[in-house]
Amino acid sequence: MFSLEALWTILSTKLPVFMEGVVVTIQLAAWTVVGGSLLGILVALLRLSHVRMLRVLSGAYIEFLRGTPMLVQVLIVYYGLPQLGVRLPRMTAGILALIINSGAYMAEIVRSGIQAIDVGQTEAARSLGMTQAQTMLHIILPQALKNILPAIGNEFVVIIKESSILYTIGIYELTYQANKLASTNFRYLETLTVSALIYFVLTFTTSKLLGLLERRMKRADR
Amino acid sequence: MQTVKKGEVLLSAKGLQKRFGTLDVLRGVDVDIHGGEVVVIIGPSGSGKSTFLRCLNLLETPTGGDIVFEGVSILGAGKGINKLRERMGMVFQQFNLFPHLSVLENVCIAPMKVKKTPRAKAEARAMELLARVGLSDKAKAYPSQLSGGQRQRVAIVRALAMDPDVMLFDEPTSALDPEMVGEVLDVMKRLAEDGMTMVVVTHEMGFAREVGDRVLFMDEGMIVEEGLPQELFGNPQNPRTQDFLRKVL
Repeated sequence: MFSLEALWTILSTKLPVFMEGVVVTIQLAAWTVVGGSLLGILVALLRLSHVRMLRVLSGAYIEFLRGTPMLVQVLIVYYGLPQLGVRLPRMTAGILALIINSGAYMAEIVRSGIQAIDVGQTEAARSLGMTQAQTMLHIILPQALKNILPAIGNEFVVIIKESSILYTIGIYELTYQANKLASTNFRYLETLTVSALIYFVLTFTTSKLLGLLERRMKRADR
Repeated sequence: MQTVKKGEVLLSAKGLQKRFGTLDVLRGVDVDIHGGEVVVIIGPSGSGKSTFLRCLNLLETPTGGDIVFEGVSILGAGKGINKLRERMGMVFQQFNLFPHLSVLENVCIAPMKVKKTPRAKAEARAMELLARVGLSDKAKAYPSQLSGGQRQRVAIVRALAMDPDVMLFDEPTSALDPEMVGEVLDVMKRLAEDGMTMVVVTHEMGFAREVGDRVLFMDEGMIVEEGLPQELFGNPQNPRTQDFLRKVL
């Protein structure tokens, strides 16, 4: 039987345990959204390069990472890489796996953002003598990134949820803490429900804050 | 800055061709533009005049012929095209101001990033140029806060900030509300009086007649007729020129 009383007891007495997990989850998501954005920008630029080889390679990266399970990717990074002599600390391996995965999605977001900028912007910049790189850096990317900020925010919400996969390699994030607690109090249903509620509070607050930020920026644009 | 003296050939197109797929947009255009000259290009839409202008600074790559700017073949310039473009200002029909930058930043960004001009110096020069077109008080504004005429004046200033040897105007008043055309043409007229070399694609026949040193009439990818404004407008020789002028005047 689902017991509200048990749920309340868990919430009121074990909150610090969950909070430890929340801190790690937020750390994972924050590092991943930053690293994933940077990787996404890099891959998007390669995807739009004049060099065919770079386009093919970056395209393959995007397709492969989006077409394979994240769990498998995480396991490859954490259990597979040591076989090649690359032994990473648990947390580093976890973040790296998330970044590699998120970078593929971010690349597509950034690419569409760049392509949505009017070609007249590039023409104006080039007509002033700017190189292709200067045009991208000073004219196109600032506008593109501003336009895709909402999409990057959505990706942040997705990462908060998906980071739970890292419990499988023993990172002490929210799901891990909840699972561990449940295996000692045997109140799986209530304990995991508490963790779900906490995830929901995290993602819901984040999207509301992002929505607020978005409306602010729209108003600043007039 | 001007490396070519007044009256000498500054920019020339030699047998210029441009083909989009199976469409011949330019079919052998030969023009010499001299230092200090104002050349106005008129013609029906689709005649290739904008394409011709965009070939001059290689926004479009010609498929045949050559362009020589200050004695250098542009088509063989490779990466050197960026250096050449610094000396060719361009003004677009749709202004193409950078919406994420203030007016002042729009004007300063190219001198600062391309020529490495120190910020203080670039801003001083920008303010001087903005004052000349009557927009000193808009330096901190963003493009979205300006009227069309103001935007185009800023775009002209942005190009001038690079101290170009020639200014290319691609239908600079076609996207403007009628009441704003005058303020932009006034700025262009003053620029011409100051001795700037200008190539202007326009539908403003009054401007062509009044400010142009030479008028080219283009049709179907070729220069059909050219001459002094009073000749071309007063006594056009080619039937196609006559037909066009009858429709627009």
